[in-house]
Amino acid sequence: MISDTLTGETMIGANISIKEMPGALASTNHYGYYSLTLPKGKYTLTVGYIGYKNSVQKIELSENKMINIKLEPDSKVLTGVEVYAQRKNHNITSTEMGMQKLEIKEIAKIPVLFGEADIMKTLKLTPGIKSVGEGSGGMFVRGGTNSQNLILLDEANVYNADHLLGFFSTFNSDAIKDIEMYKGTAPAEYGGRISSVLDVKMNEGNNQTYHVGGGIGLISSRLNIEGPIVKGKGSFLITARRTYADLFLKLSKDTIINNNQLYFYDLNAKANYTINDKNRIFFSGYFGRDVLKFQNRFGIDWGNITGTLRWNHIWNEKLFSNTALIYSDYDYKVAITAKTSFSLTSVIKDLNFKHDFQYYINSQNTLTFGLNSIYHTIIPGQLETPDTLITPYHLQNKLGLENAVFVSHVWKPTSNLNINIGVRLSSFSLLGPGDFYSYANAVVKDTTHFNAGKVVKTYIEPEPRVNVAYVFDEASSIKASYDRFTQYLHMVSNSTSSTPTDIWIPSSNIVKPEIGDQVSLGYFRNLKNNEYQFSAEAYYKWMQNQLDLRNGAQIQANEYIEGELLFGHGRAYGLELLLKKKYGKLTGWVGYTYSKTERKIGGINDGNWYPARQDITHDISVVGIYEINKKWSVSGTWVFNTGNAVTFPSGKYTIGGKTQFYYTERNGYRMPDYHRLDLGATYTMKKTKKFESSLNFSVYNAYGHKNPYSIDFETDEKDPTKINAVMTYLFTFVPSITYNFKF
Amino acid sequence: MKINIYFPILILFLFSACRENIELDLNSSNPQIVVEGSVSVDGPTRISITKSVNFNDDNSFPTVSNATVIISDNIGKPDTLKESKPGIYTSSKTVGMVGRTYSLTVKANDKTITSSGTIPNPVRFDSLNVMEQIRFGGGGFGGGTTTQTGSLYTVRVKFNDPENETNYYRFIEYINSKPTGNIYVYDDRLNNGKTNDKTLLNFTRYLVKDDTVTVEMQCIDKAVYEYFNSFGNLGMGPSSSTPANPYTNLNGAVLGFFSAHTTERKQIVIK
Repeated sequence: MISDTLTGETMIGANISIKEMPGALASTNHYGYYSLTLPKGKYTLTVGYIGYKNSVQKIELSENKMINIKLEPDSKVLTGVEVYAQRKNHNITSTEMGMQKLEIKEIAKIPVLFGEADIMKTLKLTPGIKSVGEGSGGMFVRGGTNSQNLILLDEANVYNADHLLGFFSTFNSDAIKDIEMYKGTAPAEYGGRISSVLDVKMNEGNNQTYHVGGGIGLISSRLNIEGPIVKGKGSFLITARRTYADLFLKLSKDTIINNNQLYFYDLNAKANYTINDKNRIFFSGYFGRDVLKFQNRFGIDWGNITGTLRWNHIWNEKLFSNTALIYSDYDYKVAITAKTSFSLTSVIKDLNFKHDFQYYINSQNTLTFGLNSIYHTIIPGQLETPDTLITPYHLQNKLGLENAVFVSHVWKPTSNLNINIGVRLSSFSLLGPGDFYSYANAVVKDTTHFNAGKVVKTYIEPEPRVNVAYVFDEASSIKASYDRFTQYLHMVSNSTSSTPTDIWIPSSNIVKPEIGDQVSLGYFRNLKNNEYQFSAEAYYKWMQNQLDLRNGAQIQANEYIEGELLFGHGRAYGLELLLKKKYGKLTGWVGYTYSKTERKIGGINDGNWYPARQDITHDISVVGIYEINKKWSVSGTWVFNTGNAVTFPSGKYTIGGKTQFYYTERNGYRMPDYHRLDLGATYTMKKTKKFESSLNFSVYNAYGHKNPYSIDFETDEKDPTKINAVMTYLFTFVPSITYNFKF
Repeated sequence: MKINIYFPILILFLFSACRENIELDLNSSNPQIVVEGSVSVDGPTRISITKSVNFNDDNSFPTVSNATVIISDNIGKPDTLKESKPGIYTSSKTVGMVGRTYSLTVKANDKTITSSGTIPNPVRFDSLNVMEQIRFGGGGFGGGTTTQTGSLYTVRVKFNDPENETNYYRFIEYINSKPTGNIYVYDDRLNNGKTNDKTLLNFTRYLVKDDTVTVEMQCIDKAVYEYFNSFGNLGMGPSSSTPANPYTNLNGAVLGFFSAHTTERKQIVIK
């Protein structure tokens, strides 16, 4: 196992090499473990990790040995004085493609709205991952929809990754250790969504000494505490956040404004304990809640709860296992207190068991295999009311069992060829009790009743995955992949972006599983001794059984929601270029994406292909971080994208004395181009072993470009014969300041 | 009952959004025939035929004259309507009867457009009441213009939904005899057999003192409900749904509708 000397935090993806055998390489897995098979003899073992001093050890192997290594952080590396030499070309040699890995240290310096470091916003600055405008949650990966992203926090599914309607993500960067984003190229141990996998791992906490850290910002504050449970053996970490943007509303004398509330809070907690050399247990949890109250008349609160209990076990020097019991829950509650009062509650919860093994056969072969079983409970909507005018309404709960077995094999047949080949066999069974319907023209035709425990419908889908890397030399490679993913839970939403009231429905007799197939090809090249990394990746993707809604579909509290659905398929393709400068005083990247994503749905656009709402043709992002000296660092980001597809009217007519709009083609227009510059600066006030503090300044949309949030068509107030296009925009020039500390 | 949660509006209020007019280059479209027709229990039967225009043209919509418009029911003789004003075809011969099915045939510009509808059982319009509207910022919640001063009002309608049938309702609001054009349609999915008390929210102009408000209640069939319901919602921001033409119950045309319905009116003066 490889860990940090000061904090005891295990390291993911640390590289282990042997001087005497250049071909023998290993890297640590998600839990910090590694395995290397060598003949008997004397070796020099070197371990390297970004931001840490290399550890060099002489070892003598006469029998199987467990060697735990602690690495010391190297402050000099960040300033780029020291260049270290171990496996910095992992991006070249591994089979990983369509993959983004982000380092928390990097993210903290990138300027963002309201000064809160955010992994989701940073991800959207990389090629292939997009947002549809400001003030909307969700991300769109390689043409997929927001609900097609699997978002995992310590293996637990996070159903809604947004706070404050998308201005913040659910991930508090104080609690995050490592982020991996697979754009449809994830290995076989992942499944359940067709577009991407975002795998977020939480920090474990310092197992040597106690620390308190935090930040105070204009609209939010954070606090975290970490320390040993038993020194060197176990640790804990608790982080908390609360926003208070709505406190400013209280300053208003106007009772209409100061009666509103809008805030969120969240809590991350993690604890781990090393029982002995072979066994380690973890517990981690997340609890977050958003509250929005309007005039004491309308209120909605929503949030996720996740919990993970995990056991790492080393069976022997070659076999490692991870067993996890995972709970996740997302719910929302809408309450209306007016003439008629009611509340509407909706819940989705998962009980998830995961058991996987990593078998390090030899330095050419590693096998990962395991099983995963998830029991889904969906409570689609419960309408409660004290009012006799409304009938309380309980939609039938939906129960489903999602199972998978998987195996993936990392195989290095020659020193130039790396292959990761795997398959996931997944299944989904929709379970009774309940009434299940068939429809004709959106009207129920037949009803069949199933008792508890009876299977309504089962789907079994094989999902083959293969990624191949051919390494030309130390600095260049080409990679190719084919991956299939299946999705059994579907989101039904009136909108493109994520809203708290999104509804999830399971695959059923009516709704077939979504299937995504992607082929991709990439060229990877490192320059100047790995200081610069360049990649070019192209992909083509097919998506089957995609869903949309009929016009005016009622999705809340509707037992017959499946009758409101329309079905079809999608296709997407694109080219992603990324040039990254990894080391030195100046770091950052330039990314460019060309992409297209289209859909063909019966009942929309006369059944012809049309651009999806998230279709953005050109997208450029530039990110730069410059360390001026030990005290100051500055950063900047610039984003530009051509407008997403949108439906505007091409004519107008009159009905009932009111002018109405006539639409010809679906999404046949484009929003105006979007561009924005954000600037940031970090001033380290004090940095000693005991106390660290810094001030972070940022300006969002520094040159105040008016980026449209929406375009509406309204009758001119002065000349009622005219209709104007009216643009609404949100943020021009938003400065913020945050004070961060740690002791 | 429709549960709509207008997040975009909340965002706009909380983050003090700004608005301005912009120039958009919109495509031109072929003029489409628009048929708006009704047969009601209180007559007269009225069908209006107009055409759509390009978006950047003025809001003056050409009428379609010299069309052949025929209404027939499943019992009586076909009735050919007369063009009483340009583009407006009427008849006092056909008066709607509850339970009867009426068919419409329009021949205009070498096109034949047909439709049909059945008048459902009537439901009594119990009351029309006024209530004061909360003011939010300049306008009211959910729109309204910012220039209005003084107290703002909306009206509420009350009726008892019968339990043993599926009902669809449409309300038409007139302020000082002018139709507001707001769309109010309801089904009884969530409150079958209950007393319904609905607020008719205004999106263009709020009611003020001395306004005379007339509300017409219609019991409509499912196809007409679908038509108005599919007009969609507020088109604001990335979290709104994609707009589209509503589902018409006309064959041979894409815009407009034909409705056979009951009618009951109530009037109130805001004091």
